[in-house]
Amino acid sequence: MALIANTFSDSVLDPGPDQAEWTEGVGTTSIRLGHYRNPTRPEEEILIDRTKTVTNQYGTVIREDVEYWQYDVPGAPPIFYEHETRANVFLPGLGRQLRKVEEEKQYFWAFSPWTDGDNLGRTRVVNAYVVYDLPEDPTASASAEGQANTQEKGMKPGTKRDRLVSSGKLWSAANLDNSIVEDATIAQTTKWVDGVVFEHDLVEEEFDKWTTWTLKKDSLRPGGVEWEGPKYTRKESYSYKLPVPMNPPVLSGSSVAGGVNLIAKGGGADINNTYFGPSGKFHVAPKQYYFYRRVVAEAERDADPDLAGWWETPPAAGGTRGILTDTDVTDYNGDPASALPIAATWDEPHDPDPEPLPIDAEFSRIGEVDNTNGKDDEGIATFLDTDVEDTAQYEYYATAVYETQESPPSNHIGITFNGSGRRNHRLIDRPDMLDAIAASDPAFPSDDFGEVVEFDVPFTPGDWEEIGDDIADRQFAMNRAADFIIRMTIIHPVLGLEWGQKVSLPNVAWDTYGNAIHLATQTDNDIWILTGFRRAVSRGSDGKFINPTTVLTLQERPRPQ
Amino acid sequence: MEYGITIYMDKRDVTGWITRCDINQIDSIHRKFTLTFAGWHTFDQSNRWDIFETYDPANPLTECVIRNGVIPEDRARIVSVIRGEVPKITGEGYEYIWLAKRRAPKETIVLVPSTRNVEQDVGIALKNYDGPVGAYRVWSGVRTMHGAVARLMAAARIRVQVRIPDYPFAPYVIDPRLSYWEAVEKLTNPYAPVRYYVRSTNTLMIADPTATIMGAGSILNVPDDAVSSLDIQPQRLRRIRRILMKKQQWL
Repeated sequence: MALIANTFSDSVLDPGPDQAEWTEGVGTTSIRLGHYRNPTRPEEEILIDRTKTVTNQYGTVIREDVEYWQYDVPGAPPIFYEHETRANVFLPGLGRQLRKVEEEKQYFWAFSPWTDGDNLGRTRVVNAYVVYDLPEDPTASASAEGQANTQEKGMKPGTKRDRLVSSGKLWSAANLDNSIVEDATIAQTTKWVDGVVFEHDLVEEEFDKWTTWTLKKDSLRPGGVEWEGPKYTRKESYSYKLPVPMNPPVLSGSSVAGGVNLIAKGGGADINNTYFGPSGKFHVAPKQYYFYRRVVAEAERDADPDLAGWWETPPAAGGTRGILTDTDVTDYNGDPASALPIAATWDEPHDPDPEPLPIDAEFSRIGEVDNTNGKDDEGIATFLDTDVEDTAQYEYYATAVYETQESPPSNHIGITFNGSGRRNHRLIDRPDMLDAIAASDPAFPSDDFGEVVEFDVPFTPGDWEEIGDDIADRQFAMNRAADFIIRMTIIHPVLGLEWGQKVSLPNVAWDTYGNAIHLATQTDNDIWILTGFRRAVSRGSDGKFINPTTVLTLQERPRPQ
Repeated sequence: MEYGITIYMDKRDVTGWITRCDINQIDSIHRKFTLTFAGWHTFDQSNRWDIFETYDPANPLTECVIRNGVIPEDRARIVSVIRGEVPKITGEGYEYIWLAKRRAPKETIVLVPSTRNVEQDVGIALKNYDGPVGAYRVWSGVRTMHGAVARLMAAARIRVQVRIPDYPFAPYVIDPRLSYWEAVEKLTNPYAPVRYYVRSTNTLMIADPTATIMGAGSILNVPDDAVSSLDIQPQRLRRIRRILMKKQQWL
């Protein structure tokens, strides 16, 4: 008793673009699926039959595929498959109408009912129409004189037209390569051939694999039987537990852009037995490596790390400049960009950080990576830990794993993730110099824009990279961000001015153009730094003052001078 | 003058003779002053000018504006006397730190970190150096960049506070074509510091550009109606794409 479909679903795929009139363009494709749903386990659905119907724009069926899978037991492989194709095609000698053109049947058998589909013995038979060419009509091709000559020789002109076997083609292949001419007078014919394709898979079970041989016979052409194979399918249902301990790998790691890169090398089991040759050693590389991590110190990942309000926001960190419009960097339509890229909040890297909270110091497994170096060589696996925070410290170790057996922990390494997110440059240590390259600036038209500066820094060998980072951080922070200079004339002489004085303009409205940048603000509460002034005090002959003024030069951030 | 400006020449109060006083803070370091006199008889190169200002008439020397200002000798047309008018003398001078910026050492200075292997260090320094040397003087025991800056500014009689990261110093030759000031500039420029001069304590501050700006004094609030004109200029000092930091070789 086979399973029958008890759940059906219909999908109707709507036509695509409109078809030209009087053509056979596809109008609608509808697919009907019939599933067997086990009443006791409704989540399991087994596809039993499938009907795909293609109609043209006038509702005529062009092609219909009906497939059917037969099962004995739910969960077991199928035992029979049938595929019937009906098509509305022109076949020589038969004309154009919807008819069955091909049927395919497959019979499966297995050694055990729970084997998977790769190991099934199988017989596949295809019955289909085959299109043949006919020889020329002997009566039509020979002239009257020629026929007379034939009769004079005592022979009868032939009237039988046998098929040319070598021209046989499956109906679908003949359709595809335009071998069919849709004309009743053309010398072609069609014959239904049973068993036009015959295939047979022989499967042998061995203790560790399945061996498949395929036998093929094609009835279109005269010829023998083809054999294909052998094809091996390794069994995976057995796992071997090593009786020897696994050695741990060697772990190394570094902080890279985007995370901490970890590399585990080596490890595995060494079996000592003279069975394996004169050296008596056999190395089993691990199949997997596990990576473990512990957080040593990490800034709080909260959006507001200052819940108690203990830490003041540094003055330069707040983006208080109210930019309304910026025409320097536009979008593709030429409209002003929504945000000014150069007005990004400037980070103060050396501000006091909140005391880090105590962190759960347990190791946890963060990655299981396959050995990428084959089975017999020294194993290797890399893992990029991206779940890291700037300036946080982590501790890692790795283990080598074969099946269910895990090695003891490897060496522990501690890494401080130095924050690719906030870094504004890339530092390269060359033999004769340190080379710092800035991150690409969104306001620049191309990456190679900008100048190259050279410094002669007399440092001694040592923490070159630290010094280079310090220098590049400051150079790029100072020289790549835009800044404003205000020159302001005050109608009083102002005494007691000093360089570096803070100046606030609580209610001065300004609107300025410069270098194709249009910047406007309404009320600006920024603190400006006084970086220059000019004051003139003079008195006339009567002792009174004449036009006393003070010109103040203010900057957002003082520049090196 | 009113507004509490008091002008001293060689410790003598000459305020009553002056009809106009311009103070111009040119950059973060030095100030320029221009004085217009209503006649004067001697006018000497060696005069030292001190200018004070205050809002408190009882305390006229509260704020030092110019410390030990000098009028440089190459200044042309200091005195201009026009017939029929009250003689006017316009002196244009600079603060003392401006002189320090121009003062150059007489000999090439070689900075070496050690006190024992001095000869070897001097050799390393000269191998790394490409330029004129002539007679040279060795300063030993300069182990860090901060120390080198302090020694150089001390030679110009100015105190210095360095607040940028320090690094261990390799043997190094100061180019004799540079003044003390320029040598300090060359050593500290990689860190893009903010330099300014505190005249009350005669101290040059070399501040970290990434540190929070402290500001000096109290905040000056400029009300809207005190401003007669205002213009704003966006600036980007340099567009640096790449920094090459040469390592000392032969170490």
